Amino acid sequence: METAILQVSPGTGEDTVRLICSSFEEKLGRKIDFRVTEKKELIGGFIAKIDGTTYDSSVSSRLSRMKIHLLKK
Amino acid sequence: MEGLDLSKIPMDLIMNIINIVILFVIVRFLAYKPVKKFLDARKKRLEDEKAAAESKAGEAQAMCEEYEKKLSEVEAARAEAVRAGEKEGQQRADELVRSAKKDADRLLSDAKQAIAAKEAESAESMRDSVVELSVSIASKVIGRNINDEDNKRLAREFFDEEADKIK
Repeated sequence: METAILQVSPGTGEDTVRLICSSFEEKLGRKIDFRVTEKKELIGGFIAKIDGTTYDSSVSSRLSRMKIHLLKK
Repeated sequence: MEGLDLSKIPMDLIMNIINIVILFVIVRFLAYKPVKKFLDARKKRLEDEKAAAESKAGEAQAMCEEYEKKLSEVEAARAEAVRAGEKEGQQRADELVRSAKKDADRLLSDAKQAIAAKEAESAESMRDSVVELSVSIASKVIGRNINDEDNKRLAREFFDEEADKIK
């Protein structure tokens, strides 16, 4: 079983964490042992680092992309 | 004094007259020609001097006229030089004015461009500040209001939209 890191925002429930973990396992077709940590900077959503690949679904990243897009105009 | 001898008066008179005549003839004979010659020479000399003086006066008059003519020419040349100088000066002044106007127009154009650039820069800077502030406020507001349901929804959206990227 490989180990991966899952960072979630404060206030994320256990059901949500389980949803995220099971979804990754389903998509990747293997069991994964997630080390779950809370990170306030995410604001919302999660960041998962699996096998050297980062999957970023955090609110902070979305806001950063939005800011870059607005500043580019 | 003895009384006059009336019988001798005519004889004395005649003798006196004769003496006068003789004297006249002698003087005329002896002195007339030299005196006349002297007078003629003097007259001629006076006439010559008069002619010379008149000649000199004529020359002076001619020189005076020549001088006045030359003075007129010099005056005309001076006036012409002044006119030419004025014209040249006016042309130079006009050229200076044209050059100054051209410089002023260029400066004005440069200034306008600089102002426009500065305005654009300020507007862009202000827009950037607004964007920064908006995103900051949004992150704070979202952070305060986001809950577990929101996180669950975000997770589902991620797996629905990014499924092909999960390998």
